[in-house]
Amino acid sequence: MPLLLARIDDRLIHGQVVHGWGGPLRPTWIGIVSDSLRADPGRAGLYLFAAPEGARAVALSISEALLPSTLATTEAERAFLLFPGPEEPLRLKEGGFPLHEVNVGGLHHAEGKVQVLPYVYLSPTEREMLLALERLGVRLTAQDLPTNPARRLAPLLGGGA
Amino acid sequence: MNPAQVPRRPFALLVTHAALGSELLRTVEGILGAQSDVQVLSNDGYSSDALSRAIEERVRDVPGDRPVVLFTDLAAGSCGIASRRAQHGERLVRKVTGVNLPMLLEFFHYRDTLPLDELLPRLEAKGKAGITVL
Repeated sequence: MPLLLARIDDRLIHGQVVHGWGGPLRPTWIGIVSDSLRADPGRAGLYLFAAPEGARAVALSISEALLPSTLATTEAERAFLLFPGPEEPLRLKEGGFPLHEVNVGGLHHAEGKVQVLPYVYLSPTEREMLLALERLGVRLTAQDLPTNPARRLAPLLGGGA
Repeated sequence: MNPAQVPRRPFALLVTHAALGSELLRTVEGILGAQSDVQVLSNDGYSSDALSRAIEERVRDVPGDRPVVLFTDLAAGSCGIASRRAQHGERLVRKVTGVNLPMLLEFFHYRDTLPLDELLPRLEAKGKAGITVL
């Protein structure tokens, strides 16, 4: 089965993911790809606890996400991959993981970030990483909830993606 | 009893999605009258990390060594997760998820007369008892 959702969201597992996306898509497996979260079991546990009913959630380092066993799991399960920012999907794509589409669902305001959409604020580095993902053939859509329309992100990034 | 004379009156911080917290508080005040020693924090615009820091800052700004009851809505949502992550040093902070109107009415009605250890189980009981399928 193809990956149901690959999503950049700095809140990781939260209400929109559990109810908004999890309700209609009914994931059975959620992988949070983050080296920092993987290295902090206490913090990871807070997010893994929040997984929707019927789904098993795991925290993965980027290198673990690139293992063949992870790909096999995403193909065998109704799988979500969640990323705290653009770096993780970029490194997965560069490492050969077959990411074809990434949903940008929530990158919130912080100092030095510029608003692109109400729920997407980007630093220059994040913008460059998203452009790099597009150049690698990953279709980027911005969509906070499945009931709202998806927008192509590339035209909003500039840089000739 | 004059609330100002009550030592260690618990302060309430409502951390919720969107405007739920402010509307809950507005409704409580419509029933019980104006309340002090309460703040509302919406998750609007916050990343998980930033929301956790904002909670810590709000709690830090509570005067004195008042205990704080931190109410959140979805346990498995950004507010619930951020409230669990937030660290508060030596201050007594108790965290309650699933906030609803019966629970808040109980809190504001009894926070000046019941010790926190008695009040908190009542909040849980009232919150659950307020749900009835008719």
